[in-house]
Amino acid sequence: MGVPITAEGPATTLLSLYDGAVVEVHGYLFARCRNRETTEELTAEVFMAAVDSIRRSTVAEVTTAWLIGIARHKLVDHWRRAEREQRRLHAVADDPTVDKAEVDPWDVQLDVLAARDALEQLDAKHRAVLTLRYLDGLSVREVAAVLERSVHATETLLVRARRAFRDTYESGEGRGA
Amino acid sequence: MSTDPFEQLQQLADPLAPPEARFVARLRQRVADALTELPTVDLPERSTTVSTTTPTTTSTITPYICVSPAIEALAWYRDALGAVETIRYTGDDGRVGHAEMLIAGANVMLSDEYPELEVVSPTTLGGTPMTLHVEVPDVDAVYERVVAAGARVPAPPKDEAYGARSFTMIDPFGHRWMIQTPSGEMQDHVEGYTITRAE
Repeated sequence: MGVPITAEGPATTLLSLYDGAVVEVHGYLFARCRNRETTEELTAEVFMAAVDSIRRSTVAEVTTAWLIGIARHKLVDHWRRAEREQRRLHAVADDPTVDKAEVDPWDVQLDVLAARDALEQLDAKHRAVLTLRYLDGLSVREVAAVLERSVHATETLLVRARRAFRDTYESGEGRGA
Repeated sequence: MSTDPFEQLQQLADPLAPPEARFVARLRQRVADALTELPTVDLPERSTTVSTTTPTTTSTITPYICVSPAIEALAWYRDALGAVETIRYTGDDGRVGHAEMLIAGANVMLSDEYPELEVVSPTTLGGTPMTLHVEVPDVDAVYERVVAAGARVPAPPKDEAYGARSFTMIDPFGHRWMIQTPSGEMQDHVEGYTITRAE
């Protein structure tokens, strides 16, 4: 996926890369935030951030992978904003049953549509950690770095998020979703 | 053992739909407009400064000398040449694995001897094939200072035909330095030499 800098420089590379890259970046974001308006906003933010980096000469190589990396950070910022918004609306109490959550094994073949719906209903931070861990395939350590949390806090968040996802998924199935 | 159902979430990563053509075209225009506002020449990142801890040179080639013992050498270069140490990596074995100092605004890297890596200093080699060339504002003042600090200096500063006042020293660790201050015009003819210049 790597496109090396041409003799004309990173600005030219970004433009020559644009048509393919915009589809990739948009696709990456839409699969994870499921909202066309937000996806377009974030996609635009990604490319303007790329322009900014090129202007400040802080980028070594303009590639689609680099743009996806920016997209991931924009997505995390978006979830942070959403999380702050949610916190203002209602204080989220910690689930006291969390610590037993992982003891109970879960063996199920996920239905893609139901899974997508369940993920969408979760709190922003739960959605963020599950998306980074399972859709992006990052290690717990990498997720912690992207979310700027400790590895331990990320592990705890992941346990809670898995529990929340499972509850939501199962209650959705019960409704015949 | 069954696999973790959460691993199946990977399927959700597939893009659902392509972006709308109008959005793609509009953003492309925005990106192109923003990029054309770029300056046409690349400005160097470092600005001029009077700070003594910022290099004023932006050379891509930097001397990296092996000097033994490095800790004593850093102190000597500080006292005799006014070097400003900027970083030092001291190994668990006590050897300096890497250090950097600024001399007359230029960066010089150094380390202790690592014979296992064929990194050896002039004292082990019994001489040096290299001269570190430094341009300073006042060559005579530097001469006084290095002599007082114990450098071996065969001859005092002298005005040379190539347009500089210059002297050469061997520091206590065996490195040879040529230190000079520009002084007047470069002469067209030098006795005993034929000068060839690049066009």
